[in-house]
Amino acid sequence: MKKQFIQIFPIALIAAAWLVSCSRAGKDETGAIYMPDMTYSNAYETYAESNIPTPEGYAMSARKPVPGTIPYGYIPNDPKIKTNSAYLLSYVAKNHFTFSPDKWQQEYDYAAANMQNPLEPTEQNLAEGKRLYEINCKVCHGEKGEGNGQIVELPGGGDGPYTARPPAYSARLKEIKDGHMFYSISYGKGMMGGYGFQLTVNERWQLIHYIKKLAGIEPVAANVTNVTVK
Amino acid sequence: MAAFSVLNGNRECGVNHWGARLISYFLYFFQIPNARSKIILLFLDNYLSALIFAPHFYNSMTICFRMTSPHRPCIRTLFALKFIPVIFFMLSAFNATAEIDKAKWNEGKALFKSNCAACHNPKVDGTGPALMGVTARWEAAGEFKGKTGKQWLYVWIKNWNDPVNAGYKYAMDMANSRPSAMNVFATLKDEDIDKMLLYVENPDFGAAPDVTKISTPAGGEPPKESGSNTTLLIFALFLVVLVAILIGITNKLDRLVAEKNGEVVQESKIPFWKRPKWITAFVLIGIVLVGYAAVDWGTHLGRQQGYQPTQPIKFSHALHAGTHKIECQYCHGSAYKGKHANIPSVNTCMNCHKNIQKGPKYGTEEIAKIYEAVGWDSKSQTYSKTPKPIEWVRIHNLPDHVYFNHAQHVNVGKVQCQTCHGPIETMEEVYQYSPLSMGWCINCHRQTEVQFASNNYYSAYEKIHEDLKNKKLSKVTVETIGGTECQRCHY
Repeated sequence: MKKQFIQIFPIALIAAAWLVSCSRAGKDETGAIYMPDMTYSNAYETYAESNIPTPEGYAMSARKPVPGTIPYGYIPNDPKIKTNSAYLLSYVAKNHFTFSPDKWQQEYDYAAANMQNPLEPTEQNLAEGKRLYEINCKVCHGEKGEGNGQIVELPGGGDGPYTARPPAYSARLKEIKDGHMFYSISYGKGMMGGYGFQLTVNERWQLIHYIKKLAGIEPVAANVTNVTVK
Repeated sequence: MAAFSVLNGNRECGVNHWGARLISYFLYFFQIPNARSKIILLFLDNYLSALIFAPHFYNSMTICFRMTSPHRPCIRTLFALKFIPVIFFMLSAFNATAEIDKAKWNEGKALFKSNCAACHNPKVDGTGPALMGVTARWEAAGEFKGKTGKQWLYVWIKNWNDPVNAGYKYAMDMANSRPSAMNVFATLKDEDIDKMLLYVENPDFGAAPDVTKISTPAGGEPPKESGSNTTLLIFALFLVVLVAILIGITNKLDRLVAEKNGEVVQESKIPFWKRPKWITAFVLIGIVLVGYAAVDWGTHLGRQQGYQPTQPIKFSHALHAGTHKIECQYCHGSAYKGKHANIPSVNTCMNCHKNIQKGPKYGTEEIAKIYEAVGWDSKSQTYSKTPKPIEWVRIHNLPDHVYFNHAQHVNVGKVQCQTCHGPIETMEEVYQYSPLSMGWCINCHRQTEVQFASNNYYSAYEKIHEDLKNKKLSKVTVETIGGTECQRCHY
């Protein structure tokens, strides 16, 4: 009995050590799992691989929504949207544009002629605008909109890696209208990319209020009766 | 003696520095002939190469130290000597640029930044073309209507329509070369344009720090719990051995004293590992160790703390979130709005990388993968190629039977990203920082206080509001509002 134990004991120790050594998660290693009941989802998790390939042959479960999909946050029967043509247009503006380089100027001006900020510049809207500005815009446009964000001008001095310095708001914003700003934020302009993917329509209008405030221009809501869609 | 060869793969790993130093210390220590002179050579060489050569230059070298022939000069030093003409060339180039009026250059840079930099850069193509050498290009376009090319350039900068309407061919070509039209700068004076051109033609004159050499903060390694455990274990073993030796010595001394006193010491014939006392001790220690290991191992089953998969693009959070301080939600914007903190789509990358085409560590290699994924043709500056998805590897895998919502934690709870994801801003390659175990969740729910007062979100909790008023409750944690109920997360 004793002899047997002495023989088995070291083997058990080595086996335990071996089990412990190769079960932990680490570099490229998810580690061992015991009885994974209800661990792996039957439904597709976000971004999970799909077993039905896309027409291009990629196994993505994240697909483009079908045409006509209503965006998140859009309430079709909201009277505020129905009665405010400027607001309504900002949801469907994309349908009016071709985004071809030669028609760019026309479409940019079309947005300016037909869109005005429908939101009241309340404290809440401005605070939300500030939050969004600091997340999405500050990095290039700088904290006060001077065009010196941390990737344009390094905080310690010197040029940042981003070479296209945005113009200061104070110099530019007096010349352009709300619709111009909405167009640039949504679909991009020059070197700037479009943020329509990241920001809802409401958030974009909130941002525009805050940016105007930064540039020293009093933000105002649209006078609904003045705006008509051509 | 064998020949040594030190391969320098990566400048940052410092292999050659430490390797070279170790060898030199070794030579010095064993008083090998000519070692002293060799050390000086080695150090000098290190300094020289660090000062003079660009990193990529330095990377591709293989260095040999042949210890069999001590009189042979160090190959790398020779290599350095070879490039002395280069240094002279660099110095002379510097002398040539030294004639620029610093004040004018600075003014020109400021003017350029406020007027032109949104679309133009001296060296990089953007919305507008790269401008270095623009004077020469217009000069070469030739005279027209009594004005030289350079004079036409000034006209163009003030209002690009004028030379086009006048019928100057080069200007017409330029106007057609880009989809977006240039702004009009009618108020610019000729001397302002002089200054701006001074900057454009000599963009490096001010010697701004090179951004491609920003060092990323150290760290980014998975937590090395096992590492510290091993050190402790080694230390413990060392102590045990020390104690055993001391016991042996005292025993021996005891025996010597006993022998001196004339007592007869009886030597036991049975070795210690066969004595019952020792066997019991071994078994007990074994049970404790194996038991601890088994429990520890068992609790880690199904958990992935420290999981660090290799990603298809070597995206560095240390550079983006650490060095450049880009907000987490710039890319992971839906952490505020939805259950899932999104993986940014490639157009988010393109917001900056349309312009930034070269990274500090991997150069164009990794950024080219973004271009490939989004179908961006950087030559024609259009999205003309076929896009291709990037297959990122998911790091945080929560079992399906647990519900977790980012918006609830980020938006309502105001929990910082780092609370759960650890020092993301120092991670070169992201790993799972937290265990994501149920104990870990519950612990945080028990300890975290909820911002309850003047928060509309919790207005429905009337009883708790009343209890707070009557001082029955001193604080409200997540547990108080039901944060540890089973069905909060399991449904």
